[in-house]
Amino acid sequence: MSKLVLTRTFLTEFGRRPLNLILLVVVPVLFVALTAGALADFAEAIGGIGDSELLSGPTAGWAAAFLAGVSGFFHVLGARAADSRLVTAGMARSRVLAARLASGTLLAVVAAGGALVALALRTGISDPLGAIGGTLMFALIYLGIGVLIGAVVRSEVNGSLIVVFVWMLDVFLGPAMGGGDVLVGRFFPSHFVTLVMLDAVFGHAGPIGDLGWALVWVVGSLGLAGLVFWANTGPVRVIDHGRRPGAWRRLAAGLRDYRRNRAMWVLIVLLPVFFISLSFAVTPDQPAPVELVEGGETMIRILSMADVHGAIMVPITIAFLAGLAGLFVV
Amino acid sequence: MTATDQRAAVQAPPVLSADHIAKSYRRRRWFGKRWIRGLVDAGIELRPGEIVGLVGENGSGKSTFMKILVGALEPDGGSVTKTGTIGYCPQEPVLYDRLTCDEHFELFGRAYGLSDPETARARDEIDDVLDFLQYRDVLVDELSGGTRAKLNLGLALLPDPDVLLLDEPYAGFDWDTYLRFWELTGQRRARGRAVLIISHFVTDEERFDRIVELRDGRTVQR
Repeated sequence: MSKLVLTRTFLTEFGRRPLNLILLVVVPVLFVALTAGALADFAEAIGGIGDSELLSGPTAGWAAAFLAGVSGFFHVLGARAADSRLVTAGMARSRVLAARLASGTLLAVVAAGGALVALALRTGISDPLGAIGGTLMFALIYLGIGVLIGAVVRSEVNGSLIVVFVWMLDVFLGPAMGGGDVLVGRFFPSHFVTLVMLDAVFGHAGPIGDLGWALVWVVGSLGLAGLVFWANTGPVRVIDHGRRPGAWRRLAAGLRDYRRNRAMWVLIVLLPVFFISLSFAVTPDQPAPVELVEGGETMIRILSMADVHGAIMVPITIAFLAGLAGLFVV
Repeated sequence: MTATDQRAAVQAPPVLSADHIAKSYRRRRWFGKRWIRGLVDAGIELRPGEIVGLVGENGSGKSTFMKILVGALEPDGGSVTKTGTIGYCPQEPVLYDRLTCDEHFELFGRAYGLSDPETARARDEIDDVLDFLQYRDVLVDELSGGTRAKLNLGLALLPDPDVLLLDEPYAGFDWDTYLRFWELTGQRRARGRAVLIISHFVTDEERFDRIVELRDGRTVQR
């Protein structure tokens, strides 16, 4: 069977999920057309780039990355067992891998295209080559991340949350949002491609430059994803389903299952530490006037930007964790 | 199977044999892990034209043993020798949710190395015997549990393999389909195919030529 036919079959299967098609339309529009301004304000408040025109390029990349990552994850996870059965039946593993990556790449291109169209409609594209290349690199890096997670994680909720968290940390602590050149940020997936899109030079890329590192991330992400997919495709894994127990037993079993969800506990402990500590670390320690209401009286106080950002992150993180805990119930 | 056929089957070389198969698996906890011994010394020989039942309690390792036979799992010890082609029907249907039945046959036909006309011929025969002609263009997601089980079995039958390894294939079948399944299995046996069927318990013992039981990780003849 030619790789093309297999790729077409995989794309057909993906396209038959209405939610996938809705995501491909909604996410770019939402991110690029509606929230770019708000994201620029937020970036400025936390010490990043406040120029919405300059930030619009990476915004398209973020949208494409999010979509490509989530699409890549579901594209692999939903068909993992069936792909393994196909390989066990005699289909060459390399063909299945090539078809998965080819169909995933097409999805990433569609995601990048949607984001670029939204960008063109909102602000126009002054540097088409940079915008198209950068957005595509964003999408391909996250396609690799999504495929990698889809090849190893069993739960849809856990896996999609991991993709989202990688993306959030990457975006919010990256050079566009987080501002300064934080050491840990250099290891995030989209660090260098963001610098390329912003045309900013921090000088830590070495001889191969920001573009070189961005391309290394693209190749590395897809290569590692391919290797992990290869290693995990073959044996047929089947889950045994037991009989349905009574309501109390189901509740007890549900609580036990909830308690045993290691991904949830790791996230509940690490996220506040990571988010709040890093928000202190990445925000410039400069004075800023803040309007406060205390005892019914409004006053202006000069506070450290780092303290303000850290304090803002506390309720945001609490709300986020509460939502997360609810999500894991399902 | 007549007495002459049985003698012929006993004399024929095995198309699949497994010796001294051992397999442990780990159960992970928060810290550390525990090894559970699933199979200790399991073995089986399948010869052309025989139907063998593999029985055992829940968790006795029947499905693990079959996955090792098909090559989907690596054993810790022992050896598996195959001389023929193998068709495998897993216990739970393993299918693409958003592909139709026909698309599955097309995809798996290519995986088995069949030409398009060969795939179409085999598919038509399976559609006819298992009676799911009307579901050919239906997405798997929209099929009932029983019809999914039929497709799951149909994919294993598609290449008419020398050895059929079926893990509880008739779970979810109605009575009529159950009878058709045995009719089809009988046809395959008459063509010299070997069939190994896993079941929690064997109700129709007379349908099997031999029954092998997995007990404490070891296979014993019943």
